[in-house]
Amino acid sequence: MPTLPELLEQLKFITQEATLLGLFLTATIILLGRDWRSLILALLVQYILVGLILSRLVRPDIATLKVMIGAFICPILFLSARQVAFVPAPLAQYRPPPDSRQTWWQQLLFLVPAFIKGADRRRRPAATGFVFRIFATLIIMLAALTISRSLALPGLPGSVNTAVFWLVLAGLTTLILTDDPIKAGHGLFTALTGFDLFYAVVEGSLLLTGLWGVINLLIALAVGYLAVVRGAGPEEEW
Amino acid sequence: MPLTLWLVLLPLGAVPVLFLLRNTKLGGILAALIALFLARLAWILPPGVVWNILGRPIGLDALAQMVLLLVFVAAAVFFLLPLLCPPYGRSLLNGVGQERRVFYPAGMAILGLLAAAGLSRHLGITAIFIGAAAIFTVFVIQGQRLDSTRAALRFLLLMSLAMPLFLLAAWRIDQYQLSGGQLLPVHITQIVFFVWGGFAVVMAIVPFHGGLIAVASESAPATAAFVLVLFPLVALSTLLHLLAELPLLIPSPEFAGVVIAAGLITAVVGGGLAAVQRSFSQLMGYSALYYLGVILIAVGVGGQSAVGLVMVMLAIYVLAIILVASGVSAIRMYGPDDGFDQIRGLGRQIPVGTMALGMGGMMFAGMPLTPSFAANWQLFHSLAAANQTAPLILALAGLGVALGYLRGLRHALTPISEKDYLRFTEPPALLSLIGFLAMLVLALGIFPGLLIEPIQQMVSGVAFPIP
Repeated sequence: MPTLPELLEQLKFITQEATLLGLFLTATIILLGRDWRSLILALLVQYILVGLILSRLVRPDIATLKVMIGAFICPILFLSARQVAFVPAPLAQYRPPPDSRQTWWQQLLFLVPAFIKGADRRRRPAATGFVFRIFATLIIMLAALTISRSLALPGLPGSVNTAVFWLVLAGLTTLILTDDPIKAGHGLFTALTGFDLFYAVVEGSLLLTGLWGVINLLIALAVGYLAVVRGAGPEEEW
Repeated sequence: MPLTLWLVLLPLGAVPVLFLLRNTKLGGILAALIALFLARLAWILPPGVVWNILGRPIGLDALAQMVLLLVFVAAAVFFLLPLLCPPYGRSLLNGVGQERRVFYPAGMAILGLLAAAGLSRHLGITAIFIGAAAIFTVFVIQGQRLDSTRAALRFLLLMSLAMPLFLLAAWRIDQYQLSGGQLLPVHITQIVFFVWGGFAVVMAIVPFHGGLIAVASESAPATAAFVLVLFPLVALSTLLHLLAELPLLIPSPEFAGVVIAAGLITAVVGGGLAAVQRSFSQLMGYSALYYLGVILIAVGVGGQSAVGLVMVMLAIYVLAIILVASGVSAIRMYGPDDGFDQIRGLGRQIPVGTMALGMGGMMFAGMPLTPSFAANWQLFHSLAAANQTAPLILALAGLGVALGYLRGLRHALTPISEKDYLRFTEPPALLSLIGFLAMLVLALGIFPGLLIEPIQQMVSGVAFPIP
């Protein structure tokens, strides 16, 4: 079994720019998606990517700790969301009408967005439309790029600087656009991950880093609890 | 082990016991007794540093002592309220009235964490403790109800978003102090931004008031009041400590003007919206918002007696919230809701609870013959020296709060026909509590010196300069 330094050495081929691209993708899924499984998967990948970036900026054990915290948060959210998932969601639901002319990649092009959107699987429609959320994502993306060019955070290379602003803005926008505890929790964790990417680099105190990790886990428990309560109760009006 | 640490360890140690007793009356009584014992402990313990974390002291001083005393006494009353007003009978369907199942153990954990936050002088550590307490508060706010998670979710999100601001501020403050005060102006600006931004969120300053209002509207009266009192109190104590230690947090008179303006906007929004509310629990939220704005103005005005004035206002705030929460609890025992339309004529049947609502409301509004009148008068006097219009606006916002309560009381005291008249008897223990508080309010209203002078003396050593 490879040691941590060996593992990081093997992952060196993934550049910072590729990681940034990955973070753009994961946060976009969190912003646009409604299916709890795709959200949790995106969040998990997000934590791994952030850990990868951090492994090049701080001590590898700190970076691993951050990934471990994410790896604990995602199962907490998964178990809570699964407990109250309204419909078992068979994959067949997403299947396009049978059409022999469609190739496998055309079907894939239909399936992936449908899975991310999670349409028809919720008890009520989203507060905002899918197109609106796409426009919001594009605007936030532009804002993150613009801000990161004019405001350089200390100790961070350019691409990581952009990642911090992107994650924070995408997380905050998700919070604004949703009323669902699970989705809001993902938005919150996205914003906090962006903050963590900066904070882990500048804060030298292990005590504060550790306590902040504990707080993240506790937040996940609270979000999970609210998701279960919301799922168990009747519909609420906002 | 230093006795001061018992202020943290005792409540945390009591959590398992209270969890086991959560469904019994004994749980509530024990929680209240522990809180009262902690209040006594906070009062009698000698000030001093007991520990150091990250180069900063953990310990009691006059300010922390005063705040913890208020926190523990208020918590004791709020632990008792669900027992004094049994079981909000007509609201059981949505879980309101069953809050004690989680309230006692979670509330005690929150007390321990907030006591730790109050003792710590490192902003990062304080923020972590406040954050942990906020997470436990989610369970308290939600209680047993299933129909809405809005209040708990909003509270959690806002408090979670405040923590990064505090942590960044703590990082910059550490840098500032390690460099012997040699920091670039832009970094000092960052400290100011992070500190005030974080406190604006925790203290529910407009536009971050959504969580506070949602908690007041949706949570049970005792738990809502618990949240409305504890978090602003500990946050203000931390802010005052920081202001005393770091004068750079108010870098110019213009910035003090910004703080006053933020307080004024909060008070105006709170007072203005209080006037048009349609239920007492929402009214409690907006009147608390108004008074938090007033307290922030007192911080911005500053001066030699600012800390004393803020502490007096905090004591008044606690007293007013306890009165209003008692009144709302009394109403919830008999009515389906505390909406003005639902309580028509109820005031004639539960006169003491209604009186508590009226007295609490008038205290918030700063009316004569209440202790807040003298404190507000002192604030208006100091504020008028800087801006002559601001006191007038503040007084009008106060009238908005008074108007809101008068509207509610008018509905409660509307005569109803004999056939709709139900014979209620308010629980004697609740009558005793409200009676005691009412006499205290009257005594302090007529002789405000009884409240102001001891507090001013107690915190006379703490001051922060306003340039």
